[in-house]
Amino acid sequence: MQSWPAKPPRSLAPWALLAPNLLLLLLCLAGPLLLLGRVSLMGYEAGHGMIPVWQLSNYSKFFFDPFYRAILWGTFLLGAEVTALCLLLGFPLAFALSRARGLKRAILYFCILMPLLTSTVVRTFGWMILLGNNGFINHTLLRFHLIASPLRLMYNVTGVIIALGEVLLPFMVLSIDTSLLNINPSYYEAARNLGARGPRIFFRITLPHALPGIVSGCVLVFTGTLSAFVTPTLIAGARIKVMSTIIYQQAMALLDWPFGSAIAFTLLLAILILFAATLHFSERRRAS
Amino acid sequence: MRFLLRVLNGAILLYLAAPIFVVVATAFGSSAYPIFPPQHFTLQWFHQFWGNPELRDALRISALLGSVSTLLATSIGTLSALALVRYRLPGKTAISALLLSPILFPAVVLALALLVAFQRVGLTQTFTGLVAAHTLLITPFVIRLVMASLAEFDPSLEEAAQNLGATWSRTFFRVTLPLALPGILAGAVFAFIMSFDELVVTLLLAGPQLQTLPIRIFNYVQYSSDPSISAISTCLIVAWLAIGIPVYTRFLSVKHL
Amino acid sequence: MAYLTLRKLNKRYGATVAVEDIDLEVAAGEFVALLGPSGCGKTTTLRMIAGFVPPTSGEIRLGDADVTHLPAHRRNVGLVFQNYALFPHMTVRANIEFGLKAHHVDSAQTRERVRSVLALVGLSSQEDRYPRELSGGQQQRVALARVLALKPDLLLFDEPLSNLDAKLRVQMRQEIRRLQREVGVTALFVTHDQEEAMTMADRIVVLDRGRIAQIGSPAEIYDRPRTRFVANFIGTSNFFEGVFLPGSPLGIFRCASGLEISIPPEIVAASASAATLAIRPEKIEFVNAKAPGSLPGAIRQATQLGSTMEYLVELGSGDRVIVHEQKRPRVPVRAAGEHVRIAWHPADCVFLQSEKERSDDRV
Repeated sequence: MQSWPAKPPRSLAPWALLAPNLLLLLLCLAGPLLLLGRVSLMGYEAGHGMIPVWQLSNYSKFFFDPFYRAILWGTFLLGAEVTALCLLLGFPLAFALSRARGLKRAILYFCILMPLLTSTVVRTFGWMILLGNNGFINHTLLRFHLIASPLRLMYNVTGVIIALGEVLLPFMVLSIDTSLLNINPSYYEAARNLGARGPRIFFRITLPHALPGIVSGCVLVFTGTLSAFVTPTLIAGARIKVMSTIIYQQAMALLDWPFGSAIAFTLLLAILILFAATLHFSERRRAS
Repeated sequence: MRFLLRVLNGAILLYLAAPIFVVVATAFGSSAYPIFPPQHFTLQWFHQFWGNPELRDALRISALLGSVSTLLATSIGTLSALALVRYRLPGKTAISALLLSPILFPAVVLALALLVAFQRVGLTQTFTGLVAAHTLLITPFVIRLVMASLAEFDPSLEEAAQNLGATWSRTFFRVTLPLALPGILAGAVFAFIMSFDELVVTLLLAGPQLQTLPIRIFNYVQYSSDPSISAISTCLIVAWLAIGIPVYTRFLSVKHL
Repeated sequence: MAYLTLRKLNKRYGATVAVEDIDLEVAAGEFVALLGPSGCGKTTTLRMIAGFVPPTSGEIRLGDADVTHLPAHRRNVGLVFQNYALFPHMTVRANIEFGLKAHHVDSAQTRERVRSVLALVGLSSQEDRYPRELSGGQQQRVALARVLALKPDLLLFDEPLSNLDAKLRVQMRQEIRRLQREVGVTALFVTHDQEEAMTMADRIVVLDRGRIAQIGSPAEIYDRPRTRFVANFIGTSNFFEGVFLPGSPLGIFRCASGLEISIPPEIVAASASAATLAIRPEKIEFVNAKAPGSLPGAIRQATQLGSTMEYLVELGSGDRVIVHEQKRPRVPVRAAGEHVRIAWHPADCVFLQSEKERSDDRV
């Protein structure tokens, strides 16, 4: 009788299954990122292209040139503003979602997920229609004489915040919802049984349990804003520059890949540090 | 208090839905540029989009790119998910973090990295290059959904199959795979949508011959306003909802997506 | 002839010992229960026999064949899982056919076997249903039919009744036993439920922390437990620690508290000086004051157990003894505080191996 192992050898099988994926990551992620790091240390001369030297001048240019430093801070500030907006709007919605049951939850869940199924380009296009000088918002406000002249909503930071907030809000809602769902309902019953009332229950039970979700939601929205390219490009045009739009500009319009790579690497590092910090936070929380 | 919360949430949901609603509404308006609320009902913009060879070509490229990438990503991702769920592995958390990492990187950064790398091997502006990039970007979605569906899978079913005399391969094809199939399908649907909608990486790698639908829309929106963009967007929204709703309803119990 | 033989079977996970030196012989057609608390190694033993866990050392034999290293799918051993493990995407019929197809049984014979096992478990009309459409008891029967269709050499049960409600569990015990006798298959049944083991098994193997504590018929295990663990795990016992002083015709067992108990010397296994004595609560009776050798005490607590009353009696020596008394007509229920005298037949006392002796016979 032919001997056939009941399972492939234990140690090798998972690696065999992972092999295609690891190869893909090696060729299309690790390799390119390493190359990006190398290119960010090269020189560039218009007309000649990249000069294969080792230098840090691309980084020093980005960090010390006031123009680029303003973009760096502007990007982070935008991230903070969008995060604040999403937290403000996301928490009540997540709270309602986590309390809803059955069909109501299904519908609510779907309403929050639906935007994620629609491409960012399409949603931003919708905001362009709404926010323009002759757009719906200004049109309506003017008609009811709430304003005398159109508000400037397009081609400035306000518009970007409004549109990006909408684009990223589902991530905030879903992560807060996840942590709120993890609260054992008997905690609420126990608290009420011990005589605690609404606000006290909220601050002593709901909020502490929601914290991991709030943190991960904030990180997702903040990094989402740092990485956002489509919405700032379409809403702000050439007026407002953020890191991702200047990376694109350097790479595609000016063809200065080394400088673009340096900015890209900085952005990548900022996001990795954020994720690492969150991971550290959640590990410590779990440990305590 | 409760009433106030309800009104507030209504307003927030309105904010979430507003752009989608506006895009759909303007697709049926008669004015020459997208204006909300629309004036008169018309279907001319749908005809116009369908009659536009550039857009139809873009639709074809996107569909082909999405299909090929999804096929690859689904195979690769399913195998990875199996390895992560079914086997004891040293450093499993690190490996799964690594496999899921492509969704965490900023698209512009990945796009530039791929551009720099593909330039060296002549893959920029090629279909192969785009497939490789899309497969990288969408495989994590497959892994997540397949892992979620495998996590509910009772390992004793595989033992039962072996106990009944099934070899490893019979167990895999008759028991494991059929039971993981809903998760795999959901992952494939999701991956396809993500590939079809991908803009940034494609924008940097595509070149003039491979303009996908999102690139076309992006360029139109940037330089001109035309309700046929609303029309095509509406088609996409409806299509994604039509294939997305069944997937969501099945995975509504799954907390993470 | 021994059908299943386990010889010096061991399983270690790193430094932890899951199963240690299990020696067991099961005769053809016998129904043996592996009984013990969770973590005693009973499921690990079962999974080693099924081929899911490779033993660290030792031998597993089925009949004449050494199957220790045979992969799971090539052992003709049927396993009924705790959660039944029915394939949810297959009908009842497809579930049963699965194993037959894996064994390349031809289609005519497959049909015939499916029909006959379904008739055997009384589910002939349910063959096109899916597992989720069946009740827990029916799922259990399908799981059984699925392995019986393969005519296995050995049937293994992994706590198969623990997911059923109490009434159904009692019914399924008889059902499983009936089927096993009808088919004449050898069976090994893992359970943590002593009542299940007592009512179903021909022999019980009690496991304690990976080792066999005792093997015997249900009556032997209950009436003559060898260790304190067995006496405690199966039923309730009163324990007395003390020393045995030989005499004739009755010896004396003197407890640490000063209490002295008369014992026939022949029941003392060894000349153990220090020992533990056990007596079952239902072997103790209340007697009137004149009875010789009876012990005075007072009832501290009276508990209803349904058809039985449980009394906690504190003796003059300070020892506390549990007494079970069957409720009978015209016998009033006793109350706490009542002064009583208790007595038992010396032959009902059991001497237990101390834990020290147990560790000695490891060497």
